[in-house]
Formats: sequence, structure tokens, C-alpha cells
Amino acid sequence: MCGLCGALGSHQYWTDAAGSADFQRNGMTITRRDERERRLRLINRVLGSRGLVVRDWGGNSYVLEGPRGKVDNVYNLAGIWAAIDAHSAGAPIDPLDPHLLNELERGTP
Amino acid sequence: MSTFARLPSVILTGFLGSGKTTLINRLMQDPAFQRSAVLVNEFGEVPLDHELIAQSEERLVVLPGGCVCCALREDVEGALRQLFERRDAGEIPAFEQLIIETTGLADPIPLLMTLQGFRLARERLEAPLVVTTVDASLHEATVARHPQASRQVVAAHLVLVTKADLAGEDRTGQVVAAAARLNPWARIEVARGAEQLAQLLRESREVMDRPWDMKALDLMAPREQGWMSGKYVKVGNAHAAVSFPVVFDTPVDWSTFGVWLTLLLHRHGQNVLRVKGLLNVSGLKGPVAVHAAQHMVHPPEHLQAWPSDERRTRLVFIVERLEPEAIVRSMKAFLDAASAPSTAPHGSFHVGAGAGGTVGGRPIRRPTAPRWIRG
Repeated sequence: MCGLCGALGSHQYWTDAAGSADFQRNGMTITRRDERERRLRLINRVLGSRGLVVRDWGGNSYVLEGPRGKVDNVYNLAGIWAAIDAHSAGAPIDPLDPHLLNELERGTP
Repeated sequence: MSTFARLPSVILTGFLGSGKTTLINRLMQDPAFQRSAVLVNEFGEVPLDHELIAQSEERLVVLPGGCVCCALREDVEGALRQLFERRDAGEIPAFEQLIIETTGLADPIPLLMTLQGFRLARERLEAPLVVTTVDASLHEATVARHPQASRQVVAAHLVLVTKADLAGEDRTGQVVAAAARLNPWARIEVARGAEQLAQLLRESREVMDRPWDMKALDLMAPREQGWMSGKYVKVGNAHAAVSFPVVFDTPVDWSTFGVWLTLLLHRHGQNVLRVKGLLNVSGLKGPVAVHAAQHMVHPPEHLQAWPSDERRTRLVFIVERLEPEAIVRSMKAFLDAASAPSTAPHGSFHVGAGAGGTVGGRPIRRPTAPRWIRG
């Protein structure tokens, strides 16, 4: 499947571990809700002060909310990153950006 | 559901003049390969007297929102469809395998993605074996000027070093060593003759795509070394591909790793030529085998048991124009950030009335999530 545009993908994204009895946390099988919450907590931390928030929508998709109330509905992580880019004209999110890494390492926000 | 047996396939790639055509000619002399169909991009270059040759012109279709490396190869789809239709109709002999020769300047990953995403290819072909020819006499100069040459080596299951007689023993040895450093999973051989070739292809197919190949991991990330202490060697100029290991002593959280790798591939996928290795995932008994190339991610595989007593996360990255230190720092920062407490928001969400948002690019008509979703 294509990690960027998802054109060749299916509903099950490659990062989804939930539902597999093999994947456990603290001795318990990981639930879909746990996995998505954990994922969103990190994503929102990465988004930091951009004024963007990603939230779960019904356990099936995600909603990205922009600073002026504009929202986008996306279905997987590739969609989330693409939507964030669309909201971040001129400053696309970059996992190698030293400022972002400084913030993560300092424990902010 | 198709009832056809899937045929073996070979993608033959290599820079201009590296000996692809000679290799096809040699293969065709072997009885095992005589009933092969050959799909070539540059028809005029192949002086083959063979009825199963199909021509395809390079036509890339870039997907909306996608990038060049996610382009679907329309030419290959059309040519494959035609080949199989003619085979099924009895217009051409029932070929037993397919060889696809790329142009010398092609990056093989879009072709691999096309074969993975194209239904006909999935139903009628086995996963392709990627064979890359490398000219021993010119490889260094080629790699310095053309990144595609490195990409072709990185994508290979089998690298055949050609023109060793022209290059001499020392130079050939250097090219073999450089290819092995760049792609520790590939089998690297000096091309000798038709008999050796058929045998090599058979053997390579048996072991292809084994991300838990501990030999390659041990080579790149030796056991005695700790976090990011493995050496990495740049091949060619400053922008050329570099391979390096990442070793993580503590178990990795799978959700966090997924967030990080998808973001890395989203932003830098064109320059992440390969990520391959075993992850020690917290809460799991066996390792998870991970394999990605550019924007293509193979479904991760959970192995029930570790193949040896080395149980640390060991990944090998092959990148272009990216600093290994930055990738390592980023992965560590994400994993550490996820394990620390955070006040970042999460949870359910209701779209505000009149929010003016979109779903799938269309304006939202429903102001809130429907009752059946809210539960």
C-alpha cells in the first residue's frame, strides 16, 4: 500500500495493531480505542503550538480541526499528515525539524 | 477469485550500459527461461529474436496528492493486461514466467508499487525478484552523478556485477563491497555465465524478502555495539545513498513507532530508500519484521519467536540526502515523548454547527456526528 496517498491501501492501515491478540500492553490486549487515543496524544503533542488538533471521530476516522474552525475528516495516519500539511502553508510538519525535536525533548507542550 | 497459477516474475534493472540486455540474452539460452515473456521499455535496444517480447513506453501517471515515487506505471499495466489476454486466448505460447526490464534511468520502486497495487499483477504474478546489474568499470562514476544507480542497488534482491574483466579484480572487489554495504540484504555476485545466472535467480528467489535475515542485521548492527554506534559509510558524493543501523535497547511502543515512521515517510519518503529490520515491540513475545521502501510499506509481520538470542530492536535505514543522526534523534525523541505524561488533547469530537469543514473534500452537511457513530 502507499504510505503517502493511501491509494493502494485498504481499511486496515499498516500501523493498526489493535484486534490482534498478540499485541498487548500491561498484559491486556490493545483495544482500538486505546491505540487511537495513544496515537492522537502523540500527534497532538507533535502539533504543539500550530493551532491544530486531531481528534478521533467515532472510532472510524479522524478529524483535524484548524485554528479557525475548519475541519477535515481523514481515515488514517497518511491522511492526517496530508491534512496537516494543507493547514500549514509554508511550514509543513517535519519529523527531522530541530525545533520540533527540541520541543519534544524538553517535554513541551 | 482467480484460478490461475501465479507465475514467477523478475524485474531486471541497472544503469544504462550495465549489461541488462546481455543478461536477458544469456537467460534465454537457459532451458528454464526459454518460455519467458519479456517486457521491455526500450524495444530498439533489445536485439532478441523472441516472440514473447512486449513493448511498453514509459508513461507515469501521478496520482492526485501523490508524488513521483507513488506514480502508477500505466504502461506496465497496459502491457501486462495485453500479454495475459493474448496468453489466455492462445495467441502466444503460454509463457511460464515474466521478465520486466526497466530503462537504465528508472527507479524500480514505482514499478514495484504498480505490481503490488495492480490486481491483475497480484493475481497472476508472484512477488517479483529484483535483479540489478552494476557495471564494475563505471559504477563509482555513475553513482556519483546519478542517484538512480544507488536506488537500483538498494531495491535489489540480487546484484550482478558485470564487466569485471574490464574493471580488474581490485576494482570489482571494491564495487562488490560497496554494493554489500549499501544493501546488506542483497546477494552480490560477479556475473560469469548463463548457467550461473539461472542458478543464482533460483536461489535468490528462495530467500527473497526475509527481513529477519540475521546475517544482514549482524553485519550492519553488530551485537556488541549499542545505540547508534554502528558505523555508516557513504558511497559516492555527499548526496549519495547511505546505509546505517539503528539499535534500540528498550522495547518500542508500536503505536508510537507507527506515528513516527508514517510521518518520516510522508515528509521524506522519496529519500528513505529502505527501512528494514526487527522491532522489539513492548508487550509482544516475538519481533515485528518491518520493511518499507520510499512510500511503500510492506505489511509488518509478527514473528512468533526471535530467530536468535539478540532481542534488541535493530533496523537498517538506507537514505539519500538525509542525515542519519537526525533520523536517530527524531525516532528517539518521538518514542521518549510518547512514554512521558502529556496534557495534549485526545478523545471524542463533535464538529461544531456551521463549522464549514469538509469530509472527503466535500462540505459537511451534517453539523454533528450522527447518533449511530456517537453510540
